[in-house]
Amino acid sequence: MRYAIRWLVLLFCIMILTSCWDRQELNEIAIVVGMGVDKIDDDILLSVQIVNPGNVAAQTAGSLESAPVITYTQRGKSIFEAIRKLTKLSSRKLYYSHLRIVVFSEQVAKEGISPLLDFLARDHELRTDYYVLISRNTEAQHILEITTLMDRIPANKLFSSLETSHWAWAATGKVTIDRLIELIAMEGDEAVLTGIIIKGDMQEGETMENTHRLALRTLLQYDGMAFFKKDKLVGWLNEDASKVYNYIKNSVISSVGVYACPEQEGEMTVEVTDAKSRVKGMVRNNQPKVKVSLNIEVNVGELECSMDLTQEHTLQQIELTLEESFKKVVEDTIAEMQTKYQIDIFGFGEAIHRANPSYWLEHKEEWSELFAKLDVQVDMDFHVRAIGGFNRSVPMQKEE
Amino acid sequence: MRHIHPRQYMILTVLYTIGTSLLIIPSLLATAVEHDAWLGAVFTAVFNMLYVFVYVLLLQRFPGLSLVQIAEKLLGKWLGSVVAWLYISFFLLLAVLLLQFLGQFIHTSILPSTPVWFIYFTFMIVIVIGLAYGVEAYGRSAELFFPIVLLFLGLIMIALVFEIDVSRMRPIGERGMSPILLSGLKMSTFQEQICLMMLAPLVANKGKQTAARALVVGTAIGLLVLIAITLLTILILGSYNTAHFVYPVYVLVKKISIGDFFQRIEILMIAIWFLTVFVKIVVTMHAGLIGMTQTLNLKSCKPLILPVGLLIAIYAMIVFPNTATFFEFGRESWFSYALSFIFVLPVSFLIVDIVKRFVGSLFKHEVSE
Amino acid sequence: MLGSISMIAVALLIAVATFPALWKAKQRKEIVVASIILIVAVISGVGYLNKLVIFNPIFIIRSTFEPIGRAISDLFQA
Repeated sequence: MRYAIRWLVLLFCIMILTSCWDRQELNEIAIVVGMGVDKIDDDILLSVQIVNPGNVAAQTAGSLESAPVITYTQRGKSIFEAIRKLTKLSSRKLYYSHLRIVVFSEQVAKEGISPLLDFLARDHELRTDYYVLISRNTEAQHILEITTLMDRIPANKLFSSLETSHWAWAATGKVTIDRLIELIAMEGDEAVLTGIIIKGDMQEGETMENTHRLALRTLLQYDGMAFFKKDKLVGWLNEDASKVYNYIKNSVISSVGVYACPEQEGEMTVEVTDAKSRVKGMVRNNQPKVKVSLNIEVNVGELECSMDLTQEHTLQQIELTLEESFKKVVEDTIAEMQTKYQIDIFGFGEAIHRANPSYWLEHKEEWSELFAKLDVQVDMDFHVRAIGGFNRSVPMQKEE
Repeated sequence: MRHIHPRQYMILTVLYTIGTSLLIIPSLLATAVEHDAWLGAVFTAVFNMLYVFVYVLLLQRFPGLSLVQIAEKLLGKWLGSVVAWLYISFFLLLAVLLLQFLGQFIHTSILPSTPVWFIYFTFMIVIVIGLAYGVEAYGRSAELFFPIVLLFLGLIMIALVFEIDVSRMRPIGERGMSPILLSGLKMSTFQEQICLMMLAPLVANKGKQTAARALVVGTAIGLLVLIAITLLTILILGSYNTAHFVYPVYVLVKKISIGDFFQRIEILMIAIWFLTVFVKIVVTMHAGLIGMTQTLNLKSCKPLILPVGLLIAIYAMIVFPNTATFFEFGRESWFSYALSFIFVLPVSFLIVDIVKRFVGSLFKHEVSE
Repeated sequence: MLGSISMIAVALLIAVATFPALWKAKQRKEIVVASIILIVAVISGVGYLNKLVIFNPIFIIRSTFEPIGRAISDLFQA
């Protein structure tokens, strides 16, 4: 009798461990890798990019039969409704746990993205490891429809190139959904998202032929960063301003900058190997003041002018030039944000909050005005560490 | 008389203290005191240790007796039974709440299509089996689980170290100490080591390693884990997200990604929770059963296991019709209700005992004179 | 309906499986207690499923302890 009970229990366990109500059979789900949100009239237009499993497998790569991904688009009053309506189009249940990127169109972002983020935060299938982008000159739907070559799943390409670009170029930044929510919620900081554009002809980009050329005619490219006031998109940062933003936010891992050579014609290119930023807030005489200290280590990357890089004083000259030039760029960018937009994207408000909580509590409502008149001091410190493998510039003809 | 080794008792205490607290406490603390949630966790620990010291004192004064027996000894047959039955109802209700909480979590996060009652009943079957085999069996199981739990918790902390941004913690103590103290006090009522006290007589004291020491050490370790995890959620998710995600620790573990291949391991965290919540519910139910056995002078609690199991599983369905009533109950009423049983009553026992002994010694002196 | 039936069935199963052994071992008290618990469980469960008035201890606790909890919170605020 006891034996029978034990076997029954074991059988029961085996049956329920494979889950019945919540089973997700691999061939019954469609893996969604990219999501795009646009607006039509008052409704939301949701686009999803789904992996077409048969075509992505290594053996059949390059086959012209069908595309590696499929996109479906559906209208709905909310994201959740649109998702359920998508089942009218898709042959399988959509599975969102492998989402890589979410794209909001510029138009949607201008009206405020908070309502759209709600579903993304609430649903249990969605995680927090995907990046959020704003599409710049086009609808989000079209971003998802462009074919890509090295990474056959465009969403994966966008994901990896954002990570690589974040690593190697200071004008792009990767933002996950939880970080985005945090930035929107914070009172002394604002959200900034990377923008993406379609470079080239859109119609051509949506076909498989686009990937059959050596020189792709249509590409997806990151371009600029969008800044928000709370959850509404207000404007775009150009390349220089995006760099300044990332430097101040301490999210630059490595990058490259071109500057005029000291006391000569021509330009030099330096490679940033390490960048640290410290933002310190303080309140003096009831006035807020912020000190930004940037500490950047560079290697000399490329020289257009003739310099003797074995001399210490040459390197010091380079450091001085870099400090002066970049300091101006940083100060100009901050000034522009202060006067033209009055939006604190750099987190100076948070710095004041950390330094003097009581002052912040009193004045946080009027932070926009205070930010516009904020006294910001920029300290720049460059160090040239290495010069590469050539100790002088390649001989060139001097103009007599 | 069944016995478990003090080390097993300590392990039971650690797993019990971790119990459901990782799931509820960080979010509630962050809602109350934002980025000072970790300080709130520190005060939770302080208050909790205070309660445990009261239990230790009681254990030392009444060696070998369970809480219910202490009540009857101190307050006499009639009043003692009333108090005993109050405690039994507390234990059983606690078991219901724990089961409900676990079921809700699983239903929301991983098995949304599965009917909740199925989750309650299936889990209850496991618990009933654990109880039927007795404290030695589940004590040994806990001993087996323990290294896994510690290993995984350690793994989480190490894996997430790189995502920390210390500035999220500042400014410290912005709103003053009083809200932090209050939230610490409120959260401390989510740990109910009093149930473990009911099991103390089952522990075979081996010299210096007594049940009392095991209780203290176990609670301390469990609370340290709580503080560490709360600190991590604040430092990585930030106070807004910790407060607004219902299960922030789950979100936190989802973020673990080492070298692009060690990722999506949050299901392991859920497995750990199964283990800790299992221990918590088993111990709580066992406490209730022991209470009933002792008050009614039954020979053993075995015949009651299945009926009580059924009762608790059924009540888990009834008790909260939706999550909002659950949150409201947790926010408004649980605090004072639990505090009465966790602290007020045991302290009253202590006071009564002190007074009794004092008065008794007075009389002794008079008689000998 | 199905839920109520299965609940009653489970309770009866438990009774049938355990009571005879208890009767033989002269543990009458246990049988009484166990049956009380089973009856309470079944009545509550069936009542809940059929939306009759059920005994939800939470109500009692809430009405008693909510004011106390508030009072303590106010104490801290003061």
